Amino acid sequence: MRSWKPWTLLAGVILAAIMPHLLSRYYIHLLDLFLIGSLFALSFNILLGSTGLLSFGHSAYFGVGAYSAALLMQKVGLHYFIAIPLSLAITGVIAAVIGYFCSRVVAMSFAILTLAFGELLFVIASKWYTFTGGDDGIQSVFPPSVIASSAGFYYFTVIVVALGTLAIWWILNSPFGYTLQCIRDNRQRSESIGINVRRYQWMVFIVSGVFAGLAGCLFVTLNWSVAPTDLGFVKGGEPIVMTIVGGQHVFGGPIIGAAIFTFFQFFVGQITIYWALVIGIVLALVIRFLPGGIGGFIQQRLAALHQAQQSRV
Amino acid sequence: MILQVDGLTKSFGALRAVDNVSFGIEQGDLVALIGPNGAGKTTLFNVIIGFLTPEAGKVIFKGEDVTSLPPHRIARKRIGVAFQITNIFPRLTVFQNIQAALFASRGKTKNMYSLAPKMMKDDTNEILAAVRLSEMTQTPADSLPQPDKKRLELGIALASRPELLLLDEPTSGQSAEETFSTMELVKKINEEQGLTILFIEHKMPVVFGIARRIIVMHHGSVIADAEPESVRESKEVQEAYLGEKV
Amino acid sequence: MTFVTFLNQFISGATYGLVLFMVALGLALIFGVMSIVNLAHPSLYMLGAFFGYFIWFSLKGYYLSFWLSVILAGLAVACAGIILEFFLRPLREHTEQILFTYAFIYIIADLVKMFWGGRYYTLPRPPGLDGSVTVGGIILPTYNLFIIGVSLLMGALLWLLLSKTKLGKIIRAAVFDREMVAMLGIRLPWLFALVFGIGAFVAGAAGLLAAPMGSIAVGMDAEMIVPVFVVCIIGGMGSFSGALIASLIIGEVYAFGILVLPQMAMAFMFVVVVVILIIRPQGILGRS
Repeated sequence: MRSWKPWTLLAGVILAAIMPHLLSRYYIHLLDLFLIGSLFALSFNILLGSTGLLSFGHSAYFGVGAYSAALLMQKVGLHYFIAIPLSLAITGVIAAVIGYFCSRVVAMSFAILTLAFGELLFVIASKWYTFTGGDDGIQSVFPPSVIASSAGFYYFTVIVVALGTLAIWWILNSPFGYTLQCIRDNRQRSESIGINVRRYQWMVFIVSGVFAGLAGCLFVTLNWSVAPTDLGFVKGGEPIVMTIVGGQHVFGGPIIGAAIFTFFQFFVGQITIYWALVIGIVLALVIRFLPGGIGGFIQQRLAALHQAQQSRV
Repeated sequence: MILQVDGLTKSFGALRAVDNVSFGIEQGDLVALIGPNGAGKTTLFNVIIGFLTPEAGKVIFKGEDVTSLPPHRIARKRIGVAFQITNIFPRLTVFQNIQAALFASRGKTKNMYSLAPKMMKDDTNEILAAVRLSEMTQTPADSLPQPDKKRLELGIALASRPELLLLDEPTSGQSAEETFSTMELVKKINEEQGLTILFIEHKMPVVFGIARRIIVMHHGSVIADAEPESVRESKEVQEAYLGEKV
Repeated sequence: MTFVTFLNQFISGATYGLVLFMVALGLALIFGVMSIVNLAHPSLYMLGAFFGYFIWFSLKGYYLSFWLSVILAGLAVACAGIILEFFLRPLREHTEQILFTYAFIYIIADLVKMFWGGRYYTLPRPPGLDGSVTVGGIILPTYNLFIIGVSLLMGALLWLLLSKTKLGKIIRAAVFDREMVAMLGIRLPWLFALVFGIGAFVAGAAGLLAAPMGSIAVGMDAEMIVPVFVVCIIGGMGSFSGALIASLIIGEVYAFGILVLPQMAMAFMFVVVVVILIIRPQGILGRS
């Protein structure tokens, strides 16, 4: 029974590798968006699922990652592979500054404050025409030719997202990750065993912001441009929907949610313009009837199945 | 004198929950804090561990004034607490609850690069064995029955490796048998590890069974602070309990 | 800066701030009594403007049509609020509740778009308030002064309701101990629905009242969200007087900020937020 894991992993790797030969460019593009969305949602869930912090402005770091990569390449003329790490550093600094204030307040105010800061960055991106290109954003950001092709970018993204996912998994299963879960489960008890809750909230804010920034960098590489709509309130809703629908208490939940969201968005978008209505209803229904999300639901079913098998023995 | 409490006063509006309380505890002592309900015992604990700030008075631990320190700093000074109402980490497993507390006490909480599940297994198992929870390590703490949660609570307090341990009604809700083994454990860690213990209890046989000193509180003040025999004889204590047989 | 400019900006800032105040009132009430953060409250404000416009449109020509529309729009939005509260009821955790109301931001916004299209509507000021008043040689728009007055009145009325009436006492008791209130025979579900309805009514009425000063369009909700919630945080979640002070601060900072940095007056608001939160993380009058 134990040996199915390495086989599925191998199958998954092979499947991922041959995708560009199976699908058209259109669907590879969707797959890219799904991968980027997964990383974005996983970064968000470091805050929500593991630390119990709800951030409505997580798209700010996605956007800062994208914008700073674009600006470093276009205005400073840096090479792609230098611009990316630098933009992650910039994202980290922004997350550190904003996170400092957000971690000082009580839980409900945290959610609202993250929303407010997210909107602030949106306004800066939209209005500061000379620096950020205003509503037009930054265009013609060309990645190096090795990853500019459909297949090239796809493989690059698969590798980066896989590594990013592994890194997040590792962090969440480290002593630091356990500390985060303590904070989520019981702040008072955490304090009484010596955990400085405020400081760890700050730290996790930075960590999760940097991973969101990485997703943003991948996004600008895919899109060859970035605009204010890639930050802000509406974009901030994406990781929320992905994580809640996919399940916040399961590691793979955000990934499931990203898959559902990405493919759903494209197909629903072809039928109606009222995408927001659909997504709002889906979110409300999931919260009401499936609080653990789809991931949580699957986990429950598997546990029940396991129990049934045990009792038969 | 490992803990010195000096003129502590804490009010809630017009209510003086803790009224000019002073006492000292020597290292290695095993002291009980008793008194009728509402005497201010839990409030006193909350002031010592930093969750409440007193209007007046000082808490001095190992010669250092810790009165205004936040709870996490006080915990790092090695003052541990087990709360009266079980205060555990519900979504973590029993094993993880203890591990997390160990990580906190050993300063490993910033470590993002090691994988936690295999770390400190021996120490964790040792504590789990001491509180008799070795059987259910993989159970989420939330699904434990209440008495087991109480033991886990104690386990977390022990895992933070304190030099002074405050226990708020460690045997509440436990059967006679469990009460006995909990108090045996408390006595054992006090005698073998020299851990200074201050505990709040309502069960008099327990108190008189193991405490070497008893502090009695009533309406926020200390009305007695002596060895068990003297407290037993004290008129004020008897009055405070309104004729309860001691 | 001349005195005229100063006074104009001051009135403008106070007007804007007090509109925020009206919306924040409903939020504070709902949060104070039920501990629910209703992210969709600004959406209810927008609904009030839309409902109100179309009610007014059908009542056009009737005497006091504007005022009637305000009341009716408020009631309509109160119903919407009660429906929302009904759906919120089974949810126990704060995170679930806030996310549920978040979902409704999208639902309400798209429903408005669906029924009333993507265009904007303008509502004229009601007769009698469309002129201006001259104070010491300075011309001030009457309607702005009216808004200042009516919002303070609303705040006063709500305060009176809570402190002087029997209903108010029950509501305040429910804040402290809902089990006790339930044991006294008060049907909690009805009470919560009523509180939510009152909060929604105020927001909806505010939506229509503020409409003549700008235009009614989809996006009114988005414009309101950050300022209103910032007011709540600075003032302290659940505090009426905190909301009043905070909304005046925010309103004035915004009005004078526009003179300095027209495109990004919002940035000044943030400086204020940051400063206040450093000094007092729980807000000016929040409970710690």
